[in-house]
Amino acid sequence: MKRILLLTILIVSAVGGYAQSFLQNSQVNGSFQIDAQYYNTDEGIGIYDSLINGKRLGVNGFGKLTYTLGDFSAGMRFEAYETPLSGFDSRLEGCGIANYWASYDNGTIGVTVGDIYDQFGNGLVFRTYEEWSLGFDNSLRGMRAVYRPTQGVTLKGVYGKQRYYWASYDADQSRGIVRGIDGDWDINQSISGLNDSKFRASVGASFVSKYQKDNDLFYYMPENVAAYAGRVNLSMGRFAFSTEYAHKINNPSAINNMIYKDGEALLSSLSYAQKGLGIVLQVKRVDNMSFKSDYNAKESDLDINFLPPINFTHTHSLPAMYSYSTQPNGEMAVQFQVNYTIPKKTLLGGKYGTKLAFNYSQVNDIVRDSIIVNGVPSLNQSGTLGYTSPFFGVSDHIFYRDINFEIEKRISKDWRLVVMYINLLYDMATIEGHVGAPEVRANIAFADITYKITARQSIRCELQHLWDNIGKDYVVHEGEEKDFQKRGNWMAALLEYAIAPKWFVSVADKYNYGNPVAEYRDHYYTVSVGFIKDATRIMLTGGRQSEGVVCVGGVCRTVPASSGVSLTVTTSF
Amino acid sequence: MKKISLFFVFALMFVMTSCDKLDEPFKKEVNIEATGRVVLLEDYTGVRCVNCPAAAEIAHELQETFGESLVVMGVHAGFLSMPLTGYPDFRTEAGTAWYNYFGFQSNPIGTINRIKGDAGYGFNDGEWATKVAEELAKEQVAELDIVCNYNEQTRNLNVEVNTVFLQSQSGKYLVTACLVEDSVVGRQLCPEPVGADSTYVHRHVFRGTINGTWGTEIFDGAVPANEEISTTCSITVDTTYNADNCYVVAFVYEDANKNILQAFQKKIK
Repeated sequence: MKRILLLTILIVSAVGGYAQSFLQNSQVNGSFQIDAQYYNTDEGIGIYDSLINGKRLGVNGFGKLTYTLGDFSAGMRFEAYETPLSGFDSRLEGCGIANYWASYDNGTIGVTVGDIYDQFGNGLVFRTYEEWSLGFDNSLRGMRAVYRPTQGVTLKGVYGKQRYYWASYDADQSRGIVRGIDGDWDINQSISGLNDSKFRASVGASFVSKYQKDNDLFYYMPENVAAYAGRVNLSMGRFAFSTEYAHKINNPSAINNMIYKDGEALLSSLSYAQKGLGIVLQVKRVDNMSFKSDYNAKESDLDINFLPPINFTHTHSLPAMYSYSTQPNGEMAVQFQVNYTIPKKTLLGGKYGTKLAFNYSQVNDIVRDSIIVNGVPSLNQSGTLGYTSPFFGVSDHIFYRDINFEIEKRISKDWRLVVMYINLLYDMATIEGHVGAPEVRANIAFADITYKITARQSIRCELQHLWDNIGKDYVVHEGEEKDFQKRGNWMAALLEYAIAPKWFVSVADKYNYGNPVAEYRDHYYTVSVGFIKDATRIMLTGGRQSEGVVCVGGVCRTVPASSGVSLTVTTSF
Repeated sequence: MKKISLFFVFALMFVMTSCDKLDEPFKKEVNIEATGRVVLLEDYTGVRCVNCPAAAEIAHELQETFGESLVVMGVHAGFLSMPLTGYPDFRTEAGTAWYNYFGFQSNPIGTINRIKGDAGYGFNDGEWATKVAEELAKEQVAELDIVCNYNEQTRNLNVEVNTVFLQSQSGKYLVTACLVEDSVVGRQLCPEPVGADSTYVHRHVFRGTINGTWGTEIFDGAVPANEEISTTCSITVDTTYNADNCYVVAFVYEDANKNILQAFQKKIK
């Protein structure tokens, strides 16, 4: 009996000790967010009961937990859209555990099962990611294996099925299976003699294939569609160059009008950086490069790849109204950016120095030449090779152009000023699908002034103005009013008072005073109060939101006009 | 090094087996055998929806391909069906109720026999052909017949819908009868360079239900096979409708999942 008791005590002590050590070495992290909005009818901006359709409250929320113990980690993400906020896809409605995963990685070998987020190179052939503000999630449910056989070499393989709102992952679901491999070689890390070299080089290659059964009634569909890419990154001192080229074989889809032409994309970047000066030149070509795991999918559903935008990202409300959305069927883009800081204690630099930034970006269509089908010239006709396109051909059709210049200046210990001028060309017909809508040629200027009242209190004021090429007197034809909903001149102002580090309150108004349609000359006013404590942020906003487009990384979501009260709560631990 | 070589051998095998490069012709020969089953395609559309004319064209092509085995209704509902000045208002109470019930948010989108797919009841126009073919391949479980009695003076239309289940069924089943007008000329927003087209011909325009948004219950419980169940309803055809182009579309469906078992259409005169 004594022996049994002794044995029991030993086991309990061992398990207890192990459990204690297990718990001490474990780490749990989490983040939570709730976005809720109560919608009011507001006839002034065209929000009627019929439009709200009984859905007065929209709530989007998520909770993410990650557990880590040494080389092992696991996590899950719960999401709820009851009902989704206005502008989010109604197919998101519902709640449940959207993602879960477990991973082991000892530095040489790594294996992940469950929902995978990863990227090969720039993402031209493969990128899975989640963007809460867009309601976008193209994660891959399956497996990933990573192998690092030697210093600087990483080999990777993934396969699985992509998330499609709340659709099941069963075999009978029509969307395809994605498989991919990637290899990356950092030459400096691999060759000891080059470890400390000023010349840095890495190369990589990817191959991704989608399998989707051919159930099409009218077209022979390629069941295995492959895309491959190669990349090079070089740097020497202050110069850096990177490029990636991707190619995709025949992939008829709802996006490309069921043509069988191969697709391709090129992204190159050359930069120079030294203290106080940075210069970047980027170019991009995209031709028929939408790549989805279901050929019937539209918009940004089930994207396997990612086509990075090379445009300036505006954060102020007026220029952000006209954000560019990547055109996967074809675009030729260029961006040139210079950042220069005028040194302190010079005539123009003053006591604190002055930051200058110039950015030029432009996106044109590609050139498409007809092909002969049954003896007749044909352009982009379904069930054909579509068209031919010279690699360096640039169409005269400009989708987007942004020329902007920014000055950031700390005037004194208490005053800081940012001013910016933007010249914008925005082809609304292409980017937003408002066929026949005239292009936007706008000049925008803003000043962002911050005054530090005390060490903890500050006041910030934003003043913006947008001059549109379409004025109040523009004749809008009957039935085309909708295309002019945000056209004409705008002015906007914001006043924000902050008591660091916890409180801020702001009032803002955007006024579309120059709209050619009288009923659209509306004010969009908001009042916001925010509270921050540690990692928790609570923000309450009341007022109107104008119709617009939210874009993150060239992927966009249309936000309809709304009126009401919104609450955002975020926290993490 | 051996391990890296192994990876490349595996990668090469993967690459070689994961590409299907096709040669012309890319189009299949379509041969459809009639099975007696008739499928309903509801094309949720809008007069200000620039992508809708292409979807309507697909629906029309499908009807030409499948003939009497496919019934098409153009249901104008959703934000893009709200007319601005100069555009026709084809919206209906039932169409809007269905659009909202199915959780649709934009046009064009379609239902095929109101079956559920990966993401609910809606299918992109690119999926219609496959889904219609899938539905047509299923076994026919019901027969429908429509008797129309139209009075040209009063424009009163009496409709009798007769349903026969070919196998015994249990559950709650309803029949919905709809009025559809074909070839209505009215402004439609079209892709460039056409833009707003006032001569556009709207096909299969759903004008409303004759017996309520969700139709009439024909039985709840068990029903034996081959027994005819009749339901009647009536409507006064609007004077602005061209009666020569009007027809009745009826369909029988299961209430629990809204899946349509059989559809049928008949001209009113």
